[in-house]
Amino acid sequence: MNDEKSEIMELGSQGNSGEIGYIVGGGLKANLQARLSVPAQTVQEGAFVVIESGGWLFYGLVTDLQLGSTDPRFADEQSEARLPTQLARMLHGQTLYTNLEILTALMMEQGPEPGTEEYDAWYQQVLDEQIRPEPVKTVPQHHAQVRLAQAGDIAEIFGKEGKGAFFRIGDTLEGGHPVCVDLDKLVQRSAGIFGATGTGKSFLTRVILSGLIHRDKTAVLIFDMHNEYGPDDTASDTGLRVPGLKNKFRNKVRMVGLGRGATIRGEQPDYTLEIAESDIAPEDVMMLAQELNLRETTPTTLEALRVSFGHESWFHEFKHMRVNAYQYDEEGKRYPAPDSVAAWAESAGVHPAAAEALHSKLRRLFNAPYIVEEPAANALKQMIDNLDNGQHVVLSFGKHETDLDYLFVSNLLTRRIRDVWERRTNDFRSGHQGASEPRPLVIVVEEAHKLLNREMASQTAFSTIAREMRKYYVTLLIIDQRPSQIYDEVMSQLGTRVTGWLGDSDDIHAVLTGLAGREALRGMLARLQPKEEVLMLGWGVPMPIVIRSRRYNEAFWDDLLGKQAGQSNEQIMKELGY
Amino acid sequence: MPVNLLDIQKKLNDFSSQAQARRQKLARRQEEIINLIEGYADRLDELRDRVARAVEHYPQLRCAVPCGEALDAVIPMPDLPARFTVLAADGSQINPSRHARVEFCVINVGLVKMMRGSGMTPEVKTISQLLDYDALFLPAGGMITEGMVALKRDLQEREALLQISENLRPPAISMTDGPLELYHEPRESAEFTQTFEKYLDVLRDLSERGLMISGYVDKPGSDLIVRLLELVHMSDEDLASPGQYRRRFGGVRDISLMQGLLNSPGDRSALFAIFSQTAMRYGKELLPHFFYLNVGGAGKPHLARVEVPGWVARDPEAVGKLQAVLMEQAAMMGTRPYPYILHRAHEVAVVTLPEHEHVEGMIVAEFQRRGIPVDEQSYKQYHKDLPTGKTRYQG
Amino acid sequence: MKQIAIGRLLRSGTTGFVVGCRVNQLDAPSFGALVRVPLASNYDVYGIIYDIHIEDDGLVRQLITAQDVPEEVLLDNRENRNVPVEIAVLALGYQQDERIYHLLPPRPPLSLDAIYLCTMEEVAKFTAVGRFGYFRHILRDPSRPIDELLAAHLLAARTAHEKVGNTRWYTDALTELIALLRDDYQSLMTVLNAAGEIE
Repeated sequence: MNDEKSEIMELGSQGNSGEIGYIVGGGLKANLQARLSVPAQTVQEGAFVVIESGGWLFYGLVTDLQLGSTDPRFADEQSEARLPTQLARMLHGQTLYTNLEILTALMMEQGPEPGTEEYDAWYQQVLDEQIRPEPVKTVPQHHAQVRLAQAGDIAEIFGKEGKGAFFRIGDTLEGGHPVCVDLDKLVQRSAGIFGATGTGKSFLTRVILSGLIHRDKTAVLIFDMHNEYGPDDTASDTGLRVPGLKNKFRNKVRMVGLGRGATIRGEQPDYTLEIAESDIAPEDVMMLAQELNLRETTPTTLEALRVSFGHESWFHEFKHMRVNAYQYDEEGKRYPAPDSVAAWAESAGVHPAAAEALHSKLRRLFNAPYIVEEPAANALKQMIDNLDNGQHVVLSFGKHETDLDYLFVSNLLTRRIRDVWERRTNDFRSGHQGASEPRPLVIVVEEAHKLLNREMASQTAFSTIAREMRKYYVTLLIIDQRPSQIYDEVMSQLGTRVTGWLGDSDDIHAVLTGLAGREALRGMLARLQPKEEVLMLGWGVPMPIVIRSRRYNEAFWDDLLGKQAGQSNEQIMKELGY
Repeated sequence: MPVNLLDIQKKLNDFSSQAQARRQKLARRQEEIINLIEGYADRLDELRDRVARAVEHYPQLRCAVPCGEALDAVIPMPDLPARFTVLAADGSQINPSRHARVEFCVINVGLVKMMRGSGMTPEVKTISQLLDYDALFLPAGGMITEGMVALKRDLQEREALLQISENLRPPAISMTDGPLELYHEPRESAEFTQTFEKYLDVLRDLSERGLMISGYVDKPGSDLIVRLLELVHMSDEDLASPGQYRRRFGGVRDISLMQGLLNSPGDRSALFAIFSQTAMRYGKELLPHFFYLNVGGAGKPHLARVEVPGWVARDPEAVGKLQAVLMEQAAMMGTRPYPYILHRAHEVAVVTLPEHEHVEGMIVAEFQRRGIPVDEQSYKQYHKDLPTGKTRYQG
Repeated sequence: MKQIAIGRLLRSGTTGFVVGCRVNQLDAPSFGALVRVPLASNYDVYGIIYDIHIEDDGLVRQLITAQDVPEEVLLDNRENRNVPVEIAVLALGYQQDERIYHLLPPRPPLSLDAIYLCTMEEVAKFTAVGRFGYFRHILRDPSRPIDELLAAHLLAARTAHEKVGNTRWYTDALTELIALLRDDYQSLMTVLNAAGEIE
């Protein structure tokens, strides 16, 4: 079998694309059926195939392989035992077959012969996107030849590596041809990277982030919950050192630690972030309703607080109220102390028990060391400046690793930053004097199902961003292993999805939400090889494709950065952020 | 049109009764004759006298005459010789017909020669004669009769034996189907006489070669011995007016007399000479004699009548060899004993319908080639020949 | 050019014919052999012998009932008495003016002068034309023993082709057969089993 496989690969590499089969049936709605004319083991699910027919090229994925026979008895009976070998082989060649099910996605007019002048001109048109693949509207003819896609086919569809925003994200399964993703397009909508735990999501994310940062058209803000992206890491399975973004991009990437004195893996961050009490809005607290198990009375209480103390002080005031603080009056009657929660509640017309309950529930926030009355520096502003100026920010949570910290901090920051971007966008659009176009920003969040589940869908800044679809130049890049728990309205707004193996059928279903007619891909998702294979699909990807993801190692960095050897001073200065 | 079976059915009862009555009558007569045989078994001279006397009154007398063996003699079969030659000849013919497209006559003789004990393949030969066209038409007008053709055929059978009997190694036996006597109408025509003379010549030649010729009659119906015994009871007056004489033992056949005697396979009866006007013409050496032979297997006797010429009859050893050889030949056919070699000769001689048609076709083609007009088949014949069955080619 | 002595045409039609012969056993034609029948100048019909049977012989049956059969009698039967044979031939094609067609002959034999057993060269030539179109005549009637017939034919034709240096013919023929019989599992397997015997 290996011989046959390498034979096919050899054919591919010689540019002599061998036919692997021919169309025998199927249709537009129900996928095409092709009869395999080579041994079945040489083709795998997910293979990218090209069908030539009537001057058109149809591009598709193999979504199923089925064994068939012209009569079931040929399959049942082991005629190899009854007939001489040669005869049995001839018999089986005509009576036993394998059919491929092919999901076609794109079709394109066939260009002239490669190597001719016309071909070069035509290819240029393709690159300039004057000739482009379009969604399939028709079917190839019976007996149209099916072949494995070659490097040229992949490049025609997915772009040529190194050209423009095309970034090599991996290789095809058959033939190992490079597959590119358009990084600019990737961040034009919110995107998602999915996969069960241990499938190499973080490596893939590193690859993509590196590409984005290197491309430098979009600012990247990463909430690095587990310190995987910014600092160097150690691979859990191999024990090898994994270089971080900070290491490779130096001053282009700013590492921010949460809380004064925070360190990241024993190293000093570029600066630290503290959250001012005055920055906290009631909706930031509401977002934590599930986490803190807040009651239904909370919104009322919060609103009362805001009314009582104003937007910027309510938190501070509430924090310093006392509970169970009583005084005694003349008659010895007990009454709440003036600085108590109960006292305020009465005065505000809020049920004291509710207020006290809220107060006790907010204790964790009150005790958070990174929430201070007066932050040492305006780190938030600094973050925004960094992002404006062509740098990228990685926020590390340090020792504040609870879900509460993560949810609270990332949501608050996102809300603030998004507000800034909204203002800037409005200024720009209304032609406000001096207003320039905001720099596109992508916010990278992990454990997205904690932030974007149904319960919180209406409350977080993230869901707002997801729904707005880059209205204000901000998109998300969510990374998650339980997509089924993400609000499906949000999922349906996602553009590109890059997904590794998912075991849960609900998760698989969720990843495909909002994409028409992708039933064929469900099985493929379940059969991806963990740690190696990912399926890339959705808006921003010309057609679904299974790839072997690029390895995040030294070779990757050489590839990516190596081209920068001998760069000009100007480029170096730019890299340094000036 | 189909036979009217109902008409037939009505008569069956009557018919059967008649048959039964006759059977019973003949059985009584048979019993009487058997007693006569017993009585006269050794009174051979007496019987011979009777015959001599009878012929004076009745020249047309035809009966058997004892040779010397008792009437009820039973002679068992001797051993078969180790090596011997046995020949057989049989003929068949295509009779001329005015209904056919052309008139022609073919006599076809089949010959087989087997050298027993040699381990050699028997020799088989066919001699086919297309009769002269002239010979087809009688001087007096009309065409040659079937009887005449049969006569010619008989002659040719014996002539054919001559052809394969050169350098014979004794003992050598030949057989033909039917009696040695030529029994054909018209007896007294010049044609017949001519043929008869030739026939005798051939027989003589065969004898000179030492060939023991014989005629084999299966299911014999003759009553020569019965007639002999009838003479015993006939008065002179009866003898003088044979036309009025009602035969005492009429209907009884010789074979029924012999059946009780010849019980063991290979047994033969006594030898008898045939006494008749025509028989006399054969001369002493060639005078036809006969005996009955049981060619059947144990417990299942089957009698045949064998005719031999005088010189063979007078040689008991020769007769014995003949007896053994005939027996062996008949036994070869297993459950239905009949001399194998004679059957083969018949098989070789027979002319099948397609062969008939083929020959006719040959003649027609030749006539047409020469410009001789050819008649149409008579319509009578044509319609007779229409195939009644249907055969379609279905592979 | 070995001529089969023939007697007469018994039955004939467009798809074949039956001939009565008297044949000495040594020269008897064989089941599955290709024959050629010249019917006119430049017109020969080609066929395959699909049935040979020997008419009932009463004499032999009778001989069997005897206790023992002398040697001379045995020899007589074996060598003198020609066996009456019926040879059935299935038409496979014809040759007209030097060109061979695998179609049913336009005119069936109405009378026969001679039948010839095809030589090796003739077999190779007839079976090499086109793409085994004559197979369908053989396969047409499943009541015939097509598996045995094909196996006998394949064996003979393979030998003929090997003699003229064509080693591919046999494989091509089997491939075509499998394609033709793909939908008839029963027949295909019987044919292949028979072919397997001659491997």
